[in-house]
Amino acid sequence: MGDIVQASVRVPNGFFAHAKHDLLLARRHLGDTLAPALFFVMACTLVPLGLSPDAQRLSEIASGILWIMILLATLLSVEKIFMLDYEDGSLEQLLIAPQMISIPILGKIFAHWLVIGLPLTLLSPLLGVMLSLPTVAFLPMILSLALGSAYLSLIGAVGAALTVSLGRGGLLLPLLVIPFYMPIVIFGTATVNAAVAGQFWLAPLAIIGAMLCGAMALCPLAVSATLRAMSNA
Amino acid sequence: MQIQFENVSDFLTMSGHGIYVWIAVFFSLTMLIALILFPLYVHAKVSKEARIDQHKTTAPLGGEGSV
Amino acid sequence: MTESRGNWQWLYRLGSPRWFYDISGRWLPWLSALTFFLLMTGLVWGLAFAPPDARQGNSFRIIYLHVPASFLALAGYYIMAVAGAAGLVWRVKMAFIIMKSAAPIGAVMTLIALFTGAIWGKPTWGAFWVWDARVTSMLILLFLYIGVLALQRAFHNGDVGYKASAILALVGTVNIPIIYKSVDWWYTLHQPATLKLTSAPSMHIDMLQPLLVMIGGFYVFYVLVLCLFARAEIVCQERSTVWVRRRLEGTP
Repeated sequence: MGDIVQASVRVPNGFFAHAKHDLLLARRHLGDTLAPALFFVMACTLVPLGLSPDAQRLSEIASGILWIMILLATLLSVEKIFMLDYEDGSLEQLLIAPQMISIPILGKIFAHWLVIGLPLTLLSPLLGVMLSLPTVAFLPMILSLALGSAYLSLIGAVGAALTVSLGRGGLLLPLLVIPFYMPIVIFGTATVNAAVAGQFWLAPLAIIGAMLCGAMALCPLAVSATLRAMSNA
Repeated sequence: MQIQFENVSDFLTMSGHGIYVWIAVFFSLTMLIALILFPLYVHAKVSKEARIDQHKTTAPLGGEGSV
Repeated sequence: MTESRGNWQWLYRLGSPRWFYDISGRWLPWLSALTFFLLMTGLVWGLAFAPPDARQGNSFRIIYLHVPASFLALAGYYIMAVAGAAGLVWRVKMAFIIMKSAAPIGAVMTLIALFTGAIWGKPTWGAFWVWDARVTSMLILLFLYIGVLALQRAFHNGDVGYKASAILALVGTVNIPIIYKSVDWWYTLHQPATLKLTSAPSMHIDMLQPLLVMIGGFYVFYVLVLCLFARAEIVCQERSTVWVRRRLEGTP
């Protein structure tokens, strides 16, 4: 009985402890933390320059641009999830610990979303205005990006775990992860476009939510299996 | 069942579609043959290297003992 | 060796690279002959003897390469993932070797399917590349194969590379249905009215028979090439063992 109570207390501790640890690391490496957001703004600025400043044309493709740029910005940062811990050996310690490591891993991914996905989502209305996204689409865009960026972090964590021991994962990681990002881009842009067209946009958003739930269940398992396989060698 | 073409040039042109069909056939067969040749090449290369290593490092194998 | 033990013996033997190397060596001539026979029969039958399609004319003959390659492109991913899962669960080295061998074959099959599809698209749709649901799914499948291949190549430690690419292949298997469904949905959302696939509801039996021969031929070809790749990988991995040296010396 006592074990059960203790375990139920310890599990959230593992989650929040690792989340807090990663948030502290993110504050210490502030430059790395802010880079994706700045990249997001700068890359979005390229689009009117490369395409046309015409508001009509921009508003048609704004949803796709925002989603693709968020995806790329997340890719920039996702290898950092396990890199620092791998380098200073604390990842090895996590693996030795007797408890289930899925929960701490979920905590680390949650921290990554708080540091990367959430700021990008909060920046998106600003860029939506600059890309003349219709006003009706703002709420669905924010909701789809908030849920979708969490999915991006979860899938990205699997790629980060697979490449963490390579050291030069930065080049390989996008190749592994981008195919898995394709469905979420489809549903994310569909949510925004449905709102622009005056259609029922909750349906694609619900699919994003379902995919997020599935990823929350499976990705930590895949990550822990990967990290164990790496450390056994 | 009978052959659908009257002569060789008819078979090659396939009433205008020949170029597409033959490019597809040529590409596919090239790829299939490459799939056969590549592992054979790797096998031969590794075998050769292993044979050279063996003569350098160890005496020829005797008849006894097996793993 | 009693009969009751003998029933399971093959399973343990199957896990041994040495046993696989010897048995596949005996299979190779038969597999090669069968592959050659089936592919040549199917190809000549399909290209010369099958009747032309009523709407597409002779360009439909590309189907005899396109469909079998597409079959194996998708089946190959599942073969790779199942082998990877077997390797992870039972820690059988042979399963990992099969998984690693399946990746390049599947990638080439996907490439053949995409290329022949593009060639076929020109006379049928009027364009080499169309962002059709099936074409797009195939392209994403090629990317998934490239990911597995890139990951395999990145690791110098064979065992870690095996495990990492097995996990990636498994994550891919979970995602393939999602990708296919989402691309399908995306395509119906954006489907331009001018593009319609002109495929007959059911194939005539004279066209179907050579197709079945070609599909069978591609499957046997797949097994043959899988054995060749696996044998090359076995020799590469075990080159320092005594039995490999014996085989290379030519003494059994």
